[in-house]
Amino acid sequence: MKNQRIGNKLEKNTFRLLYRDGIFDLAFGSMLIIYSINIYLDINGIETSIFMRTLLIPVVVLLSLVKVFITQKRMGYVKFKPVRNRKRLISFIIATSALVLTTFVYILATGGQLGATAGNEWISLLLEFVFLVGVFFLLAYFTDYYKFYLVGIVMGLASPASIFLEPYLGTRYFGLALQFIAGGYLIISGLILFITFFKKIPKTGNYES
Amino acid sequence: MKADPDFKEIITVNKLIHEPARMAVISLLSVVEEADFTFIMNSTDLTQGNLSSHLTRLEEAGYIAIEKTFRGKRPHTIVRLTGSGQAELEAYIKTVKEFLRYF
Repeated sequence: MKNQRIGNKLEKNTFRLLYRDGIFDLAFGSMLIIYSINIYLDINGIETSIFMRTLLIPVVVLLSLVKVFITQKRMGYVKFKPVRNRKRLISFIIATSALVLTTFVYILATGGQLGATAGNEWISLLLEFVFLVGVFFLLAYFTDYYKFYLVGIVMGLASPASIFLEPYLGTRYFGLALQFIAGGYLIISGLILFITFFKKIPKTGNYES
Repeated sequence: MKADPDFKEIITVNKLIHEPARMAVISLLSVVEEADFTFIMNSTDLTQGNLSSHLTRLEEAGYIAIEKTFRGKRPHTIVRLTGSGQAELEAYIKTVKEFLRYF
């Protein structure tokens, strides 16, 4: 039983080697920063372009291409056991369901139906917190990408903290600042990992037996 | 209450697996289905020549299976742990853990 646990820990750590190129950190850091900038622009009624609103899409596409065509090739090929593939499938289902549910809630909210039924702002904030923290914590567990815990807490706390702390801080941007700082941290750590990865792992092709 | 330590037992551990570099390679392979030469080399920080010689020894002992293919014009070496390799690793862990109880 304990041998199994040691094996599980080793498997997790081996799987986490796939994150050492920093691409995930860069993607989620960009997500937090772009999201917080867009919310800031929205709150202040500042006109923004469609480019800024959809900036995350090209960023994620670019990072995915870098992952597939550059870093993954340097890292080498590995195939994990079926248990890991099941975990990957579960994370995919959670992420997709969260996306569908968020879209559904957004449509309800913009249609004015959610406001009529929810009634209480704190209940909606609590639901938002539970939903975001729950989704990201589940993703962290199933993907073994522990920075999802940070993303979940920051995303979940952003709105409630802003509203709760507004009378004390005199600003309602606390949550956005929190997201921006967390995004900045992820981008910096992603860049460090990315540079270290390129320094440490040379081009493939030079190394084969 | 612990029994007296059996010093003879620890001497019988599989020395082929006991070597740190081979231990790293075989442990890595025990948690994946298969991995290529590049992945093992990058994960263990072994040099190409070093890894190559360790893989050869493990293959000769029947603990790993090596499949050599080509990706375009480049050679591609895929390595996986065999049933006998898995059994030897488990026996090794059991013996070492038994002995470590006395510390």
